[in-house]
Order: sequence, then C-alpha cells, then structure tokens
Amino acid sequence: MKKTFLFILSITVAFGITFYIKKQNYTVGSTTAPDWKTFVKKGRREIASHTTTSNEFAEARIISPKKESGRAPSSIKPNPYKGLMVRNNRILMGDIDVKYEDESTELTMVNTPNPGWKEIMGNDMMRFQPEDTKLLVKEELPVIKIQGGQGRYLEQVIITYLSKDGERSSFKALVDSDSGAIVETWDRTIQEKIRPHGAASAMTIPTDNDNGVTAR
Amino acid sequence: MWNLGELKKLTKNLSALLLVSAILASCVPGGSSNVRGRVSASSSSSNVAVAQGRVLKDNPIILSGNTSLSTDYDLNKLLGTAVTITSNAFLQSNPNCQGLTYCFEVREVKESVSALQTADGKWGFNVNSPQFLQVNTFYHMNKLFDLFFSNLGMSLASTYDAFNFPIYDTAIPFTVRNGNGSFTLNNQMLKAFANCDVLNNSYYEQATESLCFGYSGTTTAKTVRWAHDSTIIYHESGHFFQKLQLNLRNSSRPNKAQMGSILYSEAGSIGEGLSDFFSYYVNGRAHWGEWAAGKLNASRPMSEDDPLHSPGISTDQDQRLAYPQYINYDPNYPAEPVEDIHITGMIISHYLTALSKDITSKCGYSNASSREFVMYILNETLAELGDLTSVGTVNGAAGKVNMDAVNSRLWFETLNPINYRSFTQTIAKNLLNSIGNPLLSRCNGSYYQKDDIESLLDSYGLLLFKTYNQYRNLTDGTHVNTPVSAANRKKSVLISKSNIILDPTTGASSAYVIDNRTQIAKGITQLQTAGLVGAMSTQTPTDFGFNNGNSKVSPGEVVAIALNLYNNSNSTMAGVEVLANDWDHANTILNSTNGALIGRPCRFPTTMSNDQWPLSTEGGADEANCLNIGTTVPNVLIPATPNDFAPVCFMQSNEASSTKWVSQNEFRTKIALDTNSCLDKTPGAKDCFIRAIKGADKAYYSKINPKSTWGQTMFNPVTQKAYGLEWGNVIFFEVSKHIPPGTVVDCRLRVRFTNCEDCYHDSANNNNDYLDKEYNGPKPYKVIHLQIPITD
Repeated sequence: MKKTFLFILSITVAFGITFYIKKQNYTVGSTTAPDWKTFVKKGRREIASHTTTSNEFAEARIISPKKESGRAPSSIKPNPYKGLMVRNNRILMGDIDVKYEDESTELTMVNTPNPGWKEIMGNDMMRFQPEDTKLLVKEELPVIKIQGGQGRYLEQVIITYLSKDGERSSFKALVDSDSGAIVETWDRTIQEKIRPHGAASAMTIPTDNDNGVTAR
Repeated sequence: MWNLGELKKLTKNLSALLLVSAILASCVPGGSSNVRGRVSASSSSSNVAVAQGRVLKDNPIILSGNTSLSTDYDLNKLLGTAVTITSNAFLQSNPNCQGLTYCFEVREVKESVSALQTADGKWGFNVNSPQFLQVNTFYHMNKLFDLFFSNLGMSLASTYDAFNFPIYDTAIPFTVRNGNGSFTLNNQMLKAFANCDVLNNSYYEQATESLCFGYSGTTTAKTVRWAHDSTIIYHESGHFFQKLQLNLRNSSRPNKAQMGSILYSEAGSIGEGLSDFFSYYVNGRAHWGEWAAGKLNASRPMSEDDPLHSPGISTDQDQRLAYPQYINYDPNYPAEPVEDIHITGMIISHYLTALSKDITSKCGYSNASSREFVMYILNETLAELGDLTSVGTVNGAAGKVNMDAVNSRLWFETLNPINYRSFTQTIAKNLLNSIGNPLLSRCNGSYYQKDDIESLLDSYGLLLFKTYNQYRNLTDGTHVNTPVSAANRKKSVLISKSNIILDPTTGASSAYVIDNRTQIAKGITQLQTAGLVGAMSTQTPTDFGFNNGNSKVSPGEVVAIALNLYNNSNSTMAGVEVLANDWDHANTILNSTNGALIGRPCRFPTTMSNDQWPLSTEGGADEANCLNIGTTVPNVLIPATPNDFAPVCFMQSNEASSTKWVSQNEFRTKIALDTNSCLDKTPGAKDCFIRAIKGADKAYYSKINPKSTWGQTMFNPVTQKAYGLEWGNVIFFEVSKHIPPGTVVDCRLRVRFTNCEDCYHDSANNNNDYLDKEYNGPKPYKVIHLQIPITD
C-alpha cells in the first residue's frame, strides 16, 4: 500500500517538476531584451514604443536573445569588431586610416550622439505605416563614418517591420546618432515569391493627360 | 507513520524522479514552438547506418522521370540509396568559415529552440515529415557549400603562385584564406529553415542571415514543400554565396554590397540568373525548379535546347536567348510580356551555361570542371564590382572602382550599378586574364581565344562594351585597356542616347502624375518596409492629407511621376533608367552677404551635355565648377564632397525684368521663408520646396521596343490589357505645403540605358569607359527636363 502510495506521489511530483521546468522555459510573455525596441502604430498619430517582448519576437519570428542563449546547440557569438578599425569602441568606415584608431589623433565630429536617436528614427519610420504595424529595432554596432577629415556618429541597426497581417520585412541600416535619420540601408531580403500569372500591377497608367506637367 | 528508512527511501525515489524529470523536460517539445526534440527513428531509419539518411537526390520531377508527377504521389518511393548526412549531433556543417565552428545549420522553423537530433544518430525519415525537410535541405546545402569552398580554394591556387604573388591582377584577396584552409568570409552562421510558413515563396533574409523554404497549396493542404526541390535549395543558397562573392573585398566595412532590391533592376535580374546558375553549378542540369516552381508554371530553363522554350530559340549562334530581345520573355507564357527580375535573369543563366559548355568544347575541360571554372570567374567578377573600398583588384588603388570609399554605395547602387554591360565586361576581362592568357596555357595547352569570348557574348547580344576596362578609373597613357574587336559585334546593338525621347504622339502626355492618396500611401509604406525609403519630411501629413487625387501636383502632396519615354530608334532599348537623385549641376558660389551656397543651375558646354539650359539671362551659371565634374587632376582621388551634389529641381523666379531659374535656397530667401518651414530643416540642407524622395529617386524600365513607348512595349496581346506601373517605374516627389501655387519647378532628370552607344564609353577618349566621377555629371546621360506647375 505504502509502495503504491509512494509510487503515485513520486510520479505526480515528477510530472509537476517536468511541467514547472517546461513552463519556465516557455513562459515568455514578460521577457524583454534591452538592445531591442518595438514601435507600435496605435492610431493615426499615435506611435508607442517599449522594449521588445518575447511575444513580439515570436510574432516576428525572431529568436529572442533569451531563447538564443538556450538554443541547442548554442550559436557561437561572432565578434562584430573583427577585422575592422575601431575608435572609442565605434567601428570606423569611409575615409578610414589607422591613425584614427589612436584616440589622441584629432577628429572633428559633425554631430553629437543623442540618446533619443532611436525614438526619432522609430517615429519617422512609422509615421506612414498603417495602424497595428510594428517596427522592431535592434542596435547592432556604433560606427563613425569619416569624410573629408571629419567624423559622423552613426548607429548600425537591424530593422524588422511586422504588419498586421503577419507580413514581415527586415534590413540593416546606418542611422545618424543625432538626428535619427536613416543614412543608408543594405541586406534587404531577397524574395523568390512567385507572382500569380496575370496579377494586377500596383498602379494603372493614368489616362488623364491634363496634369500640366511637361517634359522635354 | 513514516519511519526514517521509509523517508530515506522516499527522498531517494524523489531524487531519482527529479533526475528523470529533468531528462524528460529536455526531451519534451515546448508548447509554444514547433520544436522537434530528440525523435525516435522512423521506419526509414532502419534502412540506414549511423550518420546516414535517405534524401531526394534531385527534385521529384527528375527522380520520377514524370514531368506531370502528381502532388499526391508518395515521394517516399523516390528516395535514393543511403547517403552520409553528418556525424554531428545536429544538422550543422562545413568548417570553412573562419571564426565559426560551422558555416551553416538547418532547423525546422525560425522559432525552433532545439535543432533536430536523432536518438540513434541516423537521419532516415519519412519524406512527409518536417524532419525530412531539414535533412534534405542540409544534404543539398552541404553539397553546395563543399563545392563552393573547394572551388574558392582552387580559385586562389589559380590566381596566386607558390610564393603567394598574384599571377595576374586578381580581385580575390589572398587573405580570404587562412593558414588552416578556412575562409574569412562571414562572421555570422547562415541559418536555414526548411519548413517555413510562407506561401509560394522561399527567401534569403540577409539581415538575419537566414534562408526560409516555404510551400505551395493552402495553409491546410500544403501540397508542395519547396525544400523537397534541391534546385530551390541551390538557388536560395546561391543568393547567400553572391553576397559572399560581392563582399570578398569588403571585410573592413560594416556595410555590404548586394544585388538589387525588390524593385526591377538589371542588377537584381543578374542576381536571380546567377542563383539559377548555382543550381546548374551543382547538378549540371540546365533547368531550375521543375517541382516547386514548375507546379506554379514558373520553372526556368538555362539552355536554349530546353523543350519549354518557344520555337525560334535554339543553341544556334543567331537563336540564343539574346539581350535585349528576350527580356520579359517567360517561356511558360511566351506571348505575354512580364517585367520581372527572375524572368530577365534567364539571359545571364543561359549565357553562363553556354560559356561552361564552350569551355568544355574548346579547352577540353570536363563539364563539371567548366562549371567550376565559371564559378571562379564569377568570384573574380563579383569581388571587383562589389568592392566598396574602391580598390577593386590587387594592383588597384583607392578610387579604381565605385568612386571612393565614402561614396561607394551611392555609385554601386545608383550612379554606376551593375548592369548587363558592366557585368559581362568584367566577366570578359577575367576570362581574358585567366583562361585567355597565352602565357598561362590553361586551355588544352593553349588559350581561350579573345574572339571566342567576344563571339559568345555577341551571340547573346551582350557585347555592349568597347574595351575590357582593365584599369577602370586608373586608365592613363601607360595603362591602356584592351579594345574589343568591332568585327565581333554582329548581333549586339548600341543605340545613341539621343534616341530616348518623350512620346511624340500628338496629344500624348509627356509624364504621368499619380497623386491618389491610397496609392501613394501604399507605395511609400511598401518602399519603406523594404528598406528603400528612409524618413520623410515632418511636414508631410501621416495620412497624405494634401493629396487630392486630381493628377496634378499641389502643395503638400507626395506624388509619383513616370515619364512617357519613347524609343526613337529602330532597335530595342534596354535597362532604361531615369535618375532624379542629387547631382553635380549647380554652381558652388557663395553669397557674399551671408555665405550661403547660391547653387544656381549650371549651363553646360555642348561638349558635356545635350542640355543647354538655362541661358545665362535665365539664371544659367557658367563658373569653372560647371565646366568640370569632380576633381580635374587625373588619377588623383578626391572623394566627392557635399558640394558635388545639388538637388535635381530648380525654381522659377519672376524678377523685375526677367524670369530666372534659381536654386531652392535662393527662392526661399526671396520669398522670406524661414528654414524651419522647409522640407529638410537640417542646417545646410538644399531641398526646401520639392525633392525626389531618397531611395525612390530613380525609375526603371526593362526595355522599350523600337518606335514605341514602354506602355506599348508591355501591352499584353493575349489579354489586350495595358501593363500597369510598379513602384520601380515611378519617381516619388515630396512637395512642401509652403510652395506658392503658380510656381513652376524644373527638375533636371538624367536618362540612360544599358545598350547605349554614348552612356558608358567615351568615343573621344579611345572608347574607354567614363570615369566614375563623370556619372555624377551630365555627360553619360540624356538630360530630360520635367517642368511641374504647382497647382492649388
């Protein structure tokens, strides 16, 4: 009798522990990642932002930093500075020269880092998007671009748009550390999507010729 | 009551169960994901040894020999004999990427926390299982990775001698290979997801370095899995390798080069053609996507002898899939033109297949060796064209290619992007340097003839260049480019840029204006989500509220404008680009009172441009800086500076005795508008009233038939319907709400096309290509003015 009781108790406890461990691993709603930020278009003029949550990572099909660290097998983190010139922990690009790695070499900067650059950029990039669109921004690397002997602080980011209907799109960008303006983009997604035969184009050629615009 | 012994026993049992629980926890899949944990061997596993699996060695159509194989067919019947998958615990492979243990890994879906493992180390699975999709993807990716890296190693062995000195002016840096034989190419592992939830699609997401293989059918009945088709796996992986190839010289830069974007462009179409060629590179079969794409009537041949092609296309010299005739030709719907990068890309995949076969035929290489040789030529070609450091080759120097290290991306993407001319010209140069070099004896003890290079290109209509351009921007008296033999240009046609005009038909519009609020919103949001358009003016309302849909340009609107271009020649024109980006066409004189840049429009001499606008009495400037583009010192690199770029649009200013064309800054001063009311409020900004939106400031047209407009060229004779405009066919302008109604704006646009006689090489300079800096001026272009009255 005692043996049976012990067996049932042990099994119950075992499953309880199993459930608890799994719950720990997969309860993600409240988890956040500090170098990620999400912007949400809540209304025509309302854009809110917050640190990206694990639910949003799941929505965007991005492996969250927490899950990444728990992935099996774990990924080896690449060294983002490898092979690049660095000054003040920022990667140098443009008219680069080893002399600029030496922080005692004078380098006039044309802008000043603004802690609010990400907010400005996020708002700019969301203004025209439809309601419920989300924008996930990941800070990757700080950069200095040198041109004509002057430096400009930039931030390298990964931008992911997530539309209400689940469509997603991502790319990398360099953003001005002061104004939040996007300076350039690359690593845009290449799609193989097969367009249905006879699918309509984005716009029809207007038939109204009375626009007054002339070209010559 | 419990006694001590029983309590000890309970504790012992609980401890054991705790251990069991922990093990169970590691094996049970999580509820929120589609994770596949350790999976029991399926029936298929019983047939394979450890580290082995069974895969679809080709796609189901080829394996079955049945071109109309049903999607209901049991693909398990097509599994081949057991093959080695991996002895690794997970689907991770290839140690060739320096700094990474493995170059790539395969998982089921992006959300997968745990990668696939097997309990017994065997990789045999039912074809319809998600596990099989991963194993199949892994096997074919591994095959391609092994081939590519072994090929890259051979490329280096063919390029550098025993003392590590370059045998010729190669673009492949010796430093890409490390002492241990691995390659310094990528610092992030490629992740492939074999069971993605995307319909009729697979993609390469460069920002997260991942591949996704989708499905066809419906969400509830996924009839075709794209990862069952090995050619799809090769194609998508091919995009990843193109990125590596393009950036072989960019390891010192955080930003990278890429082929094209979501919009139509020749660079994008070449990228798709190259990815198709990656399939041929691995399997030697000149057709792509018979199963996954074929079921959607979208598979693509890579040789003219493919039965899918229309009559009149063959491997005869005069029946090749030639440029520009077969741009927009879809063999699945041959009568209906379609402007699509995948379709146009067939021209380059056919050329590369034909080149492989020609090398086999003339140099005695095996077919596989020829394919590998062509890949080596592609390594060289893309490494040079994609060099953002601007050095180009081992004997190059800063400023040789892509202008300079500061502005290289602008040149690479907009001012001198890869097109069919530059791509094939660089291929030709690399053939000449290697297999075409008599001193190297790499072709049956002899060399591949220059005439062979040129004749094959000409049969594809691609002999569009006049020199091999070995020295690019560094050409001078001692660095002389090898000329192309004019006698070999029989099929390739070059057309004078004067033949691109506006539709001369009476009553025809010279430009179309789209200002419909919904359409504009859709266009801007799509371009922005694709990463093409950045921030816009804070003046423009979020709902495009000033857009009134009257097809005119009004204050505060965002409008899309398409020129109604006409090909006035008797040959097809291709790769037509209209540029509205800032360029070097204004003077740099400063206002003596406030030190501001005046920026009046340059009136260029006739030696520089067809454009003689405006007269000096109308405000035309003729200062020294208007007579030269960039530096005047030959072979001295002076990077382009902000003063070398002026807005494309000028303003009409009614003055006391005359009407003048002035810069936007000058006009702003004249009407006393505060800079805070400008579109761009940043200090020194030059765009106050109207600007082409950066990233949406160029329009592209794949081809224009002789004596036709683009609209007439694209007219569908089967449906009798006009072809609509896509976002890449229009230029987006942002108009200030403060621009006075009645003002006239003149935007000096520049137009060129790929098969152009005078857009890329300069007959006055030994037919050498224009220096990169010239692409920032008027000379390589036909200037077309867009005059826009601002209507209230």
